[in-house]
Amino acid sequence: MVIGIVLTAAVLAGAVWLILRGRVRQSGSAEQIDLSTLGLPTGSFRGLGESATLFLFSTDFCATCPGVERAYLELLATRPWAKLIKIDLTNRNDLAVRFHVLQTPTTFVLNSRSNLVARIGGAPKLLALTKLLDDLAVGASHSYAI
Amino acid sequence: MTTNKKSEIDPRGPRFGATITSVLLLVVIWLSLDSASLPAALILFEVLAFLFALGAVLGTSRTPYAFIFRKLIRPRLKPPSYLEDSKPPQFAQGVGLFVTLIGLTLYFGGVTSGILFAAVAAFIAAFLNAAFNLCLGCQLYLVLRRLSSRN
Repeated sequence: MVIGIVLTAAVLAGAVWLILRGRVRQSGSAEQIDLSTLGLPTGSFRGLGESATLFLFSTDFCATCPGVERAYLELLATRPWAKLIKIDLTNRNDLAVRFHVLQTPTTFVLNSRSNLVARIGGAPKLLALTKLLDDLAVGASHSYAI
Repeated sequence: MTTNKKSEIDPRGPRFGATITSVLLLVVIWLSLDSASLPAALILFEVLAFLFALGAVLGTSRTPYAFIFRKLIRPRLKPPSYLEDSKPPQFAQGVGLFVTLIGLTLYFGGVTSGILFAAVAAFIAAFLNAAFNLCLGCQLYLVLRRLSSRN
């Protein structure tokens, strides 16, 4: 009886996690991210994408982050107007607090004006992210033909 | 607990270990439900705490689970499609050790159901790792660190 309840709870927890994990949550406020707080140079910083930038927050203790990074690099290989910036939070608790990052990987999607347009907790649902990135490219009228 | 040397491991190794751990934790839960078998639950739980400690201190590739995986399981599998850093699973073993130690502390402090509660918590984490490839301890590293930095 107790074993059954525990097993059911564990399976349910896993199922909920699978559903919620990696949803692309669009941000209503479109807060502008101050790049200097991340230790990134401001102005015409070359690391940012023309239309979109992904900030991938990770730590040394994140098992899935390298896989997510590989998926992003693959995704961005055909989208030169978008760039990936990795931010290691292992020793930067201040940044984790500042940006309310409670799990790794967490991804921020920034548009061409460094506004936060979406955040993703956990390994992303790649289809939704791809659509958002392509929308940002069109919105910034840098559409890219393959 | 952490070493600077970066080592890479077959990600299926820790998952195999998590499968065995979750089965053993289910046995602990079952044994701890009856006061007659509670001493047996305690012994098995202490063994699990010791195994968590081995994984946390030496790394997951130097545990008995890893030995079994290398000798019996891995030769039957295809080569891994990728390797993963050994640090996250090692950290998660530390989280497992912490949870089991809380259970043992409660037990020896007179709260005998401490073993049951700690075993349930540890089981859910080990099961999620085995079945869903979710490393709860790794996922929550930032939360855990924020909690610990407040104290």
